[in-house]
Amino acid sequence: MNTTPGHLTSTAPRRRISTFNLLYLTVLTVGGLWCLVVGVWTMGVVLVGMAVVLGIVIGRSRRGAGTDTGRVDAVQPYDERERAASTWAFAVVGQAALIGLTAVFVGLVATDTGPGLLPVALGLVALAVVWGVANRVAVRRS
Amino acid sequence: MDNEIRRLRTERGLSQAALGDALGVSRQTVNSLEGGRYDPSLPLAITLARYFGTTVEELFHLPDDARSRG
Repeated sequence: MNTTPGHLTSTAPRRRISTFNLLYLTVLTVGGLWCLVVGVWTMGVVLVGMAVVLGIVIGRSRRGAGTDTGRVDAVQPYDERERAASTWAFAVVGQAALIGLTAVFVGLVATDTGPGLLPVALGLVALAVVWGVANRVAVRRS
Repeated sequence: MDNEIRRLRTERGLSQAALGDALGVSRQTVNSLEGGRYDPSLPLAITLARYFGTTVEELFHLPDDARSRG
């Protein structure tokens, strides 16, 4: 990066698409196409539409356009401050998901709702495993 | 953390967007830095200091330091 006072670029370079968005777009697109192939038209159109809208939002955010909140919403942080904000926000999402899913699990156990228990339990275990792995990666990197 | 970014930027007649472009950060981040709401990473602090031709210690100072200087 040239940081001499005379060097000022007017157009920001396009940033790489974030890993989260790459995975999320893939899930939406593949899921939408899958629904269309098997004949679940409404959900297929909704998912593909969501993928298209997300793609447009990501494209704008990659060029640094819009507000900082918009870029963090699009999970396309432009710089280190927006990356820190995005990381903090996702940590809150993780805490809310763990507490919420645990509350649902406890509620299902308490009300003896058999059929719904297994998916929630599996989701809770998966979330706990991701949390444990993320903790170890974060500690090793610091 | 208190800093001299706003003073040095305005002395050079730069907008926040222009400084952000030069440093590879957003205009909003320059605003947060100037307001002391965001403390930059060490690489960004060094980049800022080099851009203004000064040192990190001259550019950033703790609130206690400012009081002791006054």
